[in-house]
Amino acid sequence: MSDSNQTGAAVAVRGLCKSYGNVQAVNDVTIEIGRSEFVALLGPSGSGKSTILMSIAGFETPSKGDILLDGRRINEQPPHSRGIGMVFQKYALFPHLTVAENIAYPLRRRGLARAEIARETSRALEMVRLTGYGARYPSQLSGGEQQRVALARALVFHPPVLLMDEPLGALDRKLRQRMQIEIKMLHREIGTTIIFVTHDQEEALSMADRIAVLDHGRLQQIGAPRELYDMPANAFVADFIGETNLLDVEVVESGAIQTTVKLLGSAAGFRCGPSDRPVGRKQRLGIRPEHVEIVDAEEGIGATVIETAYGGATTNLLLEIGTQRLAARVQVQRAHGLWSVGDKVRVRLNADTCRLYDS
Amino acid sequence: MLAPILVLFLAAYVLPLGGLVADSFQREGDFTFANHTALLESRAFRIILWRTLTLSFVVTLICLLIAYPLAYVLARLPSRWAAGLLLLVSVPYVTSILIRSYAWVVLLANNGVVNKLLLASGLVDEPLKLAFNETGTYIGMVHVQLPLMVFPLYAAMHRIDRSLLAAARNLGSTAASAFWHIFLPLSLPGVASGCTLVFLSCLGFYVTPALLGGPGQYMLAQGITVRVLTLADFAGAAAQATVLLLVVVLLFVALRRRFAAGLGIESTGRSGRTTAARGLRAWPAPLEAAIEVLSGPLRALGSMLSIVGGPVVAVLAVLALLFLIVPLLMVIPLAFSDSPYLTFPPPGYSLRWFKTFLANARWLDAAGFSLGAAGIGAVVSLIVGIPAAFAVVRRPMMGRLPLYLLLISPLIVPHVIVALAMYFSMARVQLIGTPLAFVIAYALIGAPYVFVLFVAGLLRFDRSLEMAAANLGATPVTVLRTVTLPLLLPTLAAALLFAFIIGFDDVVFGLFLAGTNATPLPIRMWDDIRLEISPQIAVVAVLLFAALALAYAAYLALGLLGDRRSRMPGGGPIA
Ligand SMILES: Nc1ncnc2c1ncn2[C@@H]1O[C@H](COP(=O)(O)OP(=O)(O)OP(=O)(O)O)[C@@H](O)[C@H]1O
Ligand SMILES: [Mg+2]
Repeated sequence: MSDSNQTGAAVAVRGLCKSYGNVQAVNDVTIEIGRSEFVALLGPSGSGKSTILMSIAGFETPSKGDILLDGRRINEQPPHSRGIGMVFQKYALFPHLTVAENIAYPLRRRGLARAEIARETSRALEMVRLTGYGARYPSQLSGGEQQRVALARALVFHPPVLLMDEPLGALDRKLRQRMQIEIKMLHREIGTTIIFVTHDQEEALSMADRIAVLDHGRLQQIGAPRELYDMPANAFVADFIGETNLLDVEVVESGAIQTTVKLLGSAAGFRCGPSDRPVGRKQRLGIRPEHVEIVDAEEGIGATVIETAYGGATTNLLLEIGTQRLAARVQVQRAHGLWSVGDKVRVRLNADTCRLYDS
Repeated sequence: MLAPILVLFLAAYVLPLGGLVADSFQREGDFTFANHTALLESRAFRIILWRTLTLSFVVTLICLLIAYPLAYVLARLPSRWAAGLLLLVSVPYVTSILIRSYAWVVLLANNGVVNKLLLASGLVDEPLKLAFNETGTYIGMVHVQLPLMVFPLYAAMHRIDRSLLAAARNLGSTAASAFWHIFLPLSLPGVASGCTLVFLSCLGFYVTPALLGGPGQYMLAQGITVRVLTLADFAGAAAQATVLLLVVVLLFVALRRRFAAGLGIESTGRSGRTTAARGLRAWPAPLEAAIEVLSGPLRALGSMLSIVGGPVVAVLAVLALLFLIVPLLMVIPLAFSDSPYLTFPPPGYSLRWFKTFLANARWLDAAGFSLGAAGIGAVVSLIVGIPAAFAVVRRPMMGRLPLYLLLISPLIVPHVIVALAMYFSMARVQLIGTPLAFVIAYALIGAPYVFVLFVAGLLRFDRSLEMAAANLGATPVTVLRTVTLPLLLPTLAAALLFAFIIGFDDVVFGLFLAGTNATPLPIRMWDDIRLEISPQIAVVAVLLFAALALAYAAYLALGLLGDRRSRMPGGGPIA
């Protein structure tokens, strides 16, 4: 495969809607994916990830909207002629065919000569490091091996686009991490465009060039992992990507330089970046636990430690300010003297790391 | 995809049955209830109806009592063993009903094996009357119906999570109370299914009561047959058949959700419920009450089972198995008898009865005819049944449930009714006594088996395999050829086997549709058994056993082909 000069194709999903009866599985989703890009579709269960993937593969017909492959509309094209590779959630290896026959399947459908099929098949087995496994049946393989056969079968015909629906969901943690790296390396090597469905945010963050976050059939945000992490578009994304404290606050003063908010249920106030939110509006203030600072001086806001958890290089604290709770993650070397439950501490939230979301 | 089966059903089933019901309302061309009122006023008919209902009920109860311990033991065995023993249980089910009845005649007649043993042991002074009366009917019917009870019971018990019992014990239950509060309720869906099947199947029973029952002690099916074939009272027969049909259809409609369970429609959205709750909710209230009554003896039995414990249950299970198998085995030595009469054990052994069989063109013609007609009928039922199963499982459609029920209903409606209806309608087009009539009849009774097996097979089928094939470049036809059909090969084999056997073993359609050019083997056997009981039938039985063994071997081979993935040596774990 390594000599394949085929690079990925661009995929566009435009204004995609899909409803089943009165369930709106996908609601006006637009995603533009560049050649050889690795995009993860991330979202909770039932958010419409599989439906989008199935629409691209041709197993679902969109209720509205278009699917484009390199700018060409393929809505009406039947699945078997789309030439898009796919790895199914439970692999869908043909149980009555051997590993080699499974991998040869797409080549035979394309009418390749026998010798060429044999050559491509063994090359694909080599690519996934399963040389010598060709004569086995899928039931004689471990989960990880089955996963690799599925990958080889989906890639053996050099598809310009590879779809993967939670391909690592059935594997244990160790194996999953190894496969994540293997898939990434493979992607770099062959340059196929990959659309990868997962509900595991760590997996999406570590693998994808860009992540599309979905909820309730709607696209919440699409962007590079850092972008999503640092500048979540809304409270859902902030909460879904990484951990976030969401505090209920009320705007006290807003302007071009800074916004001041008051924590509900206590007298404490915080400063955030500039905004034009009207005074008196209820908001949610998002801050990640690692951005919560514990300070000695008189400058911070008083809080009570209600739980502590040792986390290796960091210590996790659960704090209470008034009636609201705040999680903090503190570097251990700065944690001179460990805190215990009931301690009074003072915290500071840096304005740059606080974000306001509509509640 | 539904057109072929609908044409078959319309022509050979729905219209004839409609005609039969219409006929029952006619006398000399006028619409009338006279036939029915005459029937209901007839004391003889009321006695027959009552006998049929009580006999069916009692047989159902006895089957339940015998089958429960057997299924209980089977469900606890490692599945490899259970599969083998279930195969034993199924042998009688696929053995010609004539042969089973013949075996019981050999055992139970005045000079039969049982009486000989009893006399020799001095337990009785004169032979007990065990056959050709109600006792004979009961014994024969229980034997015939027992497998129908064992299978659903086993299926239900097999699903019960044994750790529930362990948990109950752990929480302080005694063994008896764990059985009583946990196992028994969870097995009730199997009890319900088994009782339904056996009861409905008993209602229309013909062969066993006719051979083992007493003279004049008719059940409904015999009453109907005699009326047509002996008395030529067509209107009366039509009226009787209509009454029986009404009873069956009412039960069928009342239990439709239970029958439709195989369609998987009911299971959606209730996944959180236990099997027991789901099973019982499908019962209408009166039947639930009936189950309650039925479970009285069960409870007593259950307490006994768990108190007396393993050994007694195991003994009961072994006895049940012996009861199923031994009568059939008895037949084999008889085939090699050198006596002109039926005596057991045979005084000497020879192949004389095989020779007379092979020298007799009438036997050979009948065997050839049956093979051909049942074979063609089975193929036709595959051709109409498979597309129908695909349509019902995979096409979105209105009225899926009624359609499904219609297509499985020939499994439930007594054959005697369908045969009578065909007899009337085929007489109009001069088909009686032709091979075509048999092909149509066999295709009709085989098609529901094919349909049900394929519906089950398709519901189990992992659709993502077909999607994967399409995604890899296979056109829909190629998907079917390279993935769907190869994986359904075991289902195909089972469907072919069942469709063939159901036609090949049929007696009832033969009685109505046979003619000089079209006499199936079971009718030859039937005549032979009724005229004189000789070892000749035993020869046929042995040949049939051999054929069955061959067919089963072919089935296994076919199944292995499609199933080699799970039988490969050293198969690794599936993730
Ligand atoms: N064939 C269908 N009929 C009816 N509703 C459907 C169908 N397929 C999907 N849905 C609904 O559409 C919504 C989106 O489903 P989808 O399978 O795309 O979710 P998902 O994000 O892949 O979830 P998961 O992580 O659980 O796989 C869900 O609410 C689901 O119930
Ligand atoms: Mg999904």
